[in-house]
Amino acid sequence: MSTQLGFHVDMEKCIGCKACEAACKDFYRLPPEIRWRRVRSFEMGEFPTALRVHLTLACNHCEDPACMKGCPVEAYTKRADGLVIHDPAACIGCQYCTWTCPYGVPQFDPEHGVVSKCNGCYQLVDQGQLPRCVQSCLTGALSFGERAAHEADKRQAVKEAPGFPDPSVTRPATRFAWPRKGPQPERQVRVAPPPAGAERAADAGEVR
Amino acid sequence: MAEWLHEAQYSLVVFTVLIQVTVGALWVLAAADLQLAQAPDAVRARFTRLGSALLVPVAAVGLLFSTTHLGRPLLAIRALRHWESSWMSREIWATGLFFGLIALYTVLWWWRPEAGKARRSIGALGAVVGAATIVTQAMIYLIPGRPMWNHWSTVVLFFGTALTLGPLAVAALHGAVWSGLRSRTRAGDAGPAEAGAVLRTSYRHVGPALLAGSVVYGIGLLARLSHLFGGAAAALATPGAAGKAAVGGETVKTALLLGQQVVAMNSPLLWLEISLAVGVPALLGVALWTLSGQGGSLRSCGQLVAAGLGLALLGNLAGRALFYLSGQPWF
Ligand code: SF4
Ligand code: SF4
Repeated sequence: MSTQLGFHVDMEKCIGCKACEAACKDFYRLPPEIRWRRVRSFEMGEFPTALRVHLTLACNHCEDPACMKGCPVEAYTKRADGLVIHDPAACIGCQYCTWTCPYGVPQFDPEHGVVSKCNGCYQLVDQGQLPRCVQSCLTGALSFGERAAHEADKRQAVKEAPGFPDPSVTRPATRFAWPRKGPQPERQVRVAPPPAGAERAADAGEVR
Repeated sequence: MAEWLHEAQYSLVVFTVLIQVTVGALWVLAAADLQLAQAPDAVRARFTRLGSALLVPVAAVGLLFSTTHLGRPLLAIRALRHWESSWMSREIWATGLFFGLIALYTVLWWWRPEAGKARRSIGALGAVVGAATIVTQAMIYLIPGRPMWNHWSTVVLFFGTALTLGPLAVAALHGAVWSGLRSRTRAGDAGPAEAGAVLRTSYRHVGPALLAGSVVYGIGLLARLSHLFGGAAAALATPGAAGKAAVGGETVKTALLLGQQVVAMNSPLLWLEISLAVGVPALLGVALWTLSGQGGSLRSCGQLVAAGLGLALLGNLAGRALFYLSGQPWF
């Protein structure tokens, strides 16, 4: 069986706090305008069941990576475990991959004249650790591992997500669990169990 | 302004347009050269040879601009590496080959004029490689990552530029040469009269070519606009698409809506493109054909061609800038 590592995103659990984004930026000391992981927030559905949903994305380590196919200097490689790695030393800064990747993952850094992107923290993964973003997620919305395992174990693990560009083009390894529909009060995500006595207020539909 | 120029990818605007001008010019020159083989004519040969002088400089300026797009221009040569799968690598191979062929063609015209057969073969080969270069240039933009460009109209538009600006550039150079020749000769000299007759025939050929070229450009532009505006209308009719919450293939509509909004926001560029890149060559084509046929003054034809080249070039640059602007990151 071929291996393909990738992320799983549970959009129900994600509260859009951007801790993942910050942890990645901090760990790799990225310049201000470069974000290897990005959290996008938008509206879904219609009033009165409209939802505010958050979509956290880094590289999808695609099975058919458009970045790699288009790069004229072969700066991209796909490892045996499925991670797609970009080599800044080989890059000439033509920025073609910033066009070919449908998910806007590779980003150009004018100061260094090259592109960079999420490499799945392969150095950590090789030591048996999880990527920084996954380690930092407060709600457990982000996980990382074998795509097939996500498909077998998660509440839901589908290829498409609201706002996510057509996955048929590059076959991303990222899988999603969709936000559950329903009125906002029932969707409050609690990081810690509510303090005793708060139960009744929540039951009565009070939201703070 | 600097940021706008960067977003409009000014270096790629100049690069793609100038390479396309060169390819179109070589088509005209190589075709004239082939005709010369059938009906040798010393004056016509001189005009064609003079025309070949514009190929290398124009392409060289284009190539120079292409490197300013790179973050690390000194490593540009590495881009030849991935030709098996990257259209960008293929474009660089094709452009390099094309440049070599036009350089050789020019050298043969100026330093080995007697080697007509070799020169014509190189010219014809260059014309084919030039067409292939335009195809590779366009293929770069046929990518699902940027749905605004991912349409056949991109190929047609690139060819439209070559078909209008190429003949115009050659005709303008010929007109300038002729007026220079006329001002330097005294009354009674037969040279300018012969040259005038050749120039008149050349204008008569350029007229229909320009008209055809502007039809090609017009078809490309119309198709591109209907691609963007059709996608935008579909986005507004799809739940979530306008709010960036579409799913799967529907997200393409979100991208097209964004592209259409950029075109609407930069409508002066669109009007410049319609009037100058399509309108001017079309009108000029008709004017040249009638004027040169009815014995109109060569001087006014020459002035029209020179003005037309300037305006059409401006229209093409505006249109290409709009092309890049509309292909924004959309996700
Ligand atoms: S998400 Fe983009 S950068 Fe990452 S592997 Fe896929 S195509 Fe390449
Ligand atoms: S910017 Fe670098 S990595 Fe991206 S396509 Fe160009 S050379 Fe390859």
